[in-house]
Amino acid sequence: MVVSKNGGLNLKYSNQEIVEMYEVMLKARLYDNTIIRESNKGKTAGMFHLGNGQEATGAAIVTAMGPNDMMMPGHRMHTANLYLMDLQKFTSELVGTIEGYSKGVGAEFHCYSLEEGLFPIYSMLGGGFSHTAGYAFGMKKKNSGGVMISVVGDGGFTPGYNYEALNIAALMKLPIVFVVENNGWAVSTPVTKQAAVKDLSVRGPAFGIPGKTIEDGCDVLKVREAMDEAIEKARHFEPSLIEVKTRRIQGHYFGDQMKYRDGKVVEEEEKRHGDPIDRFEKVLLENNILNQTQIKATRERLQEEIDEAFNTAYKERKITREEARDLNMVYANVEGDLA
Amino acid sequence: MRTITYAKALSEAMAEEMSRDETVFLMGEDVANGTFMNSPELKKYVPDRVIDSPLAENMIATFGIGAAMAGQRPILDFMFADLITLAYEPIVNVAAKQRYMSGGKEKIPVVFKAGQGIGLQIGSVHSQSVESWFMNVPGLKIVVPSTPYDVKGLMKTAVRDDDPVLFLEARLAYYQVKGEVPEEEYTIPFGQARVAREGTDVTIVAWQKPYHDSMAVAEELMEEEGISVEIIDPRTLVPLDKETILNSVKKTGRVIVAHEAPKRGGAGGEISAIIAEEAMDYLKAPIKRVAGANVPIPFGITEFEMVPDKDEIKKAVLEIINQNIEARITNQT
Repeated sequence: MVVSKNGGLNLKYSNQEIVEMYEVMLKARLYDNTIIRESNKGKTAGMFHLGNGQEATGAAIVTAMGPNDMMMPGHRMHTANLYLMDLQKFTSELVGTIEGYSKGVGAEFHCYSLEEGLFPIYSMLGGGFSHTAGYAFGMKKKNSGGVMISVVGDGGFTPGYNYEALNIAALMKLPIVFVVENNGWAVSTPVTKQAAVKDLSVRGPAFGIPGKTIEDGCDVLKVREAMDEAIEKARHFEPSLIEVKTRRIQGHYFGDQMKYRDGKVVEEEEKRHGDPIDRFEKVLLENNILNQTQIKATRERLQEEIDEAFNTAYKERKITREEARDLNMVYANVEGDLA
Repeated sequence: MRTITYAKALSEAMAEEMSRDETVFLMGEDVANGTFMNSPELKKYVPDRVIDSPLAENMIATFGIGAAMAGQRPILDFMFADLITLAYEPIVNVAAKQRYMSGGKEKIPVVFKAGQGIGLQIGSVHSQSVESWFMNVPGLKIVVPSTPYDVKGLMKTAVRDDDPVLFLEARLAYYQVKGEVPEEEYTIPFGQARVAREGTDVTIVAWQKPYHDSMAVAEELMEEEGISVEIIDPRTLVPLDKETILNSVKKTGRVIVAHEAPKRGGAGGEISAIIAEEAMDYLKAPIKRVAGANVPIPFGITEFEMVPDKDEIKKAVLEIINQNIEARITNQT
């Protein structure tokens, strides 16, 4: 039995499930902090979009997924990568070694693993809704029983092609849940400059898809309940749109100075949402699900696993020029002169 | 052998592939009713596997790529090649790169098909030939069939291929070009050009409308001037059968590349560059390109003024036959 932050009783989840949600969130936070630490040492390449503050969304989704379900994560949702994928192979990809999921050519952003339930993030944010709708169509045709959960941010939800996807999902009654993770910021542009409506979920009903907004998206249990409900509906071919209002503690990318966001705004966000992990730890302690010693041990164990993954990756080799130019990487069928 | 239209051959290819493999489906605007290409062979697959899409080209492409990743073999119809602009992003950024991003693990068996070129006299954004817009993108295969036989065999290969294929049909050929097509099953491998006519004096590499014009011109030139023209239809631009093209150029020493798309940045430039790189020593005359004007295509019959025709190709042959690199070099020194 758990008391959530607002004092309501929640009998739905076992202690084991609750601890699992906590660990997923914590692992992603520790991982993102490790990316910062390693990047400061100059040991990483590329650009990172960190999810600090938004861990509840991803943790709620991945723990709600069934074995045949598929998810397209948001682009700052390492909760999903770390829960669904192999920590070592994912970290090797992030570091850019041949042992990574994509042999180090995709980076943590673009790598994916269909057999483990992780669909590729769509680079042109917002295009992913159509991409995942097509996959959901394939799932339905095969009678796989699976559901697609498709995530985009508030910025990514602005382009028009999102709505072509909502339309086809409704017309074809696809097994899909559309999730809009609204952290209030599209890079440096606040959501109030992107949308004239208060809740982005109102866009669902325009296409015949029910919409729901979760105001307190840093309460993992609230998000989880909404996901459970939406996934169940999708399993019966009723698509829905869930907006999760959350907060982005970091800048858009690691290194973003956030000159566009002054102290007052940050204060308001802190007051509105707090820190999802601190808040959930409090719930765990208050309800005697974990004690301080156990929490400390969990943190240490997860950090050790992460450090080990990075250290192993640093010893691995990178792809060679010849391997990276191998046409078999580009084409499944290399017959004919493709050079 | 029976003779059928380009449109019927194409329609048969899709119907046969659907009957062979239940993961094959056709999706696009107005495909069930066949507004622009009537396909009675496909009727029995409506509505589950011949799917009328809402007006949303970007979605059709992106959706199809997603379906391909889930084990389907979609044929996505864009009616007019010009409309692919709305789907350019998913084709070049997703279909073409998704396998590479997976480290060479996943396959993306999807066909993007559209009619291209002049023929309906409906102006600048329903008449373009678009192959070169995509040739610079690694990860795609590009097919440009000219004849009924080729369109059928190549479509069947496209559906069975495990990579994304851009299949650009010759709009003018749908009902105007008829040809021999066997009843029996056949496929045509990608990357094999067809020597459509053997000759010894000059090579023309051409596809679609200029291909048909070249075939007619070659006949006339043999009768009128005794000039022997060899014609090569590459059939696929990616992969490209460089060997067949180069062998012909080495034999004749004179080459014209003809296509309907505008000359600047067109596929003819790429083919010319390959010839210059690999067969320069065999050339008796400078390479010639006969291509569309670098001008939008006007509405009405004026559209014919913008793309190569028989006169232009004939003129090019008569010019190139009288050019001689060696003579020119000698004159300069």
